Amino acid sequence: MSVLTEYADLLRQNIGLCGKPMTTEVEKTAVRKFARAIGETNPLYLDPEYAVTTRFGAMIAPPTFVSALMSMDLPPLPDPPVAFTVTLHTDDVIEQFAPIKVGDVITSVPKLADAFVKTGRNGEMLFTTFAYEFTNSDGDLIANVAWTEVQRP
Amino acid sequence: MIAQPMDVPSAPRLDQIRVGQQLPPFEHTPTKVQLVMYAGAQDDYFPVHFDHEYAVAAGQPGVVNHGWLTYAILLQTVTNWAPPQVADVVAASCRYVRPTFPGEAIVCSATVVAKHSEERTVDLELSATNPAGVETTKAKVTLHFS
Repeated sequence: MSVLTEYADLLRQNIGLCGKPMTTEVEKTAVRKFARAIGETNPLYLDPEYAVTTRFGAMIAPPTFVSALMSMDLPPLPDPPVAFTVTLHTDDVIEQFAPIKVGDVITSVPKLADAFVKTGRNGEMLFTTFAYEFTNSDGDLIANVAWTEVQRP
Repeated sequence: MIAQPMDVPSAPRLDQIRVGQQLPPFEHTPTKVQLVMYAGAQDDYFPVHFDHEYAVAAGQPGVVNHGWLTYAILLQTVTNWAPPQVADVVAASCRYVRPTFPGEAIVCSATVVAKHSEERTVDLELSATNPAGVETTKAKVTLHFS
């Protein structure tokens, strides 16, 4: 068993361990800036007077706005046994149960969801997945988001 | 007054959508300015997205687009066709196969792979290629029609 697979086993003992939550009030200006940055022109993301006439009743955020609401205070995990020279973001998964609207107060909490080793052309790679729950101020689950990164020595 | 789907006259109706249907193609070329705008909007200041020397030292030819930005651009292939006025993105997943770079077109395509009329949902598979025709990004989306 390699040093990296031993480390992945150690990480897996920490599955479910949470980092610190982050609470964000979804502001009109932040949503507009985000929409413009991704090149969106839909008035639902830009024009509150238009948005109030729609079934949403308020400006909403584009689907990937969850990326701006994620706590990066990750769970405290054991130190890796080797230095990683390459870290790449590989996957982002969103489950959206309700739209995120301007005025919502959203709390996200990261937790370790998975860790495993795969062997590729460049040797062993460690994949780590962090999963988030997004809840509003009523405690309703609004979205689940998971991201995965790959690292290699 | 509640705006109806007729606000978006070109938007598809669920009964007109068929499995195998290709969505209108979409492409976008991010600029370095857009990466700066995106870094601020997402609050992601990882230097590989704005610092050329850092990116080169990390083994890249230059600064790299944020994965989440490439994802957002790819999803516009779906939301330009069926915007939230008519359908919600209820699930989406994205895999970054290769990095994408500012100044290079992100050429997106999307295909309807399943339709569930009772649940009023449609599943799509998306792909982005770079100007050399190499796939950089894959995604899956489930839309729920109102």
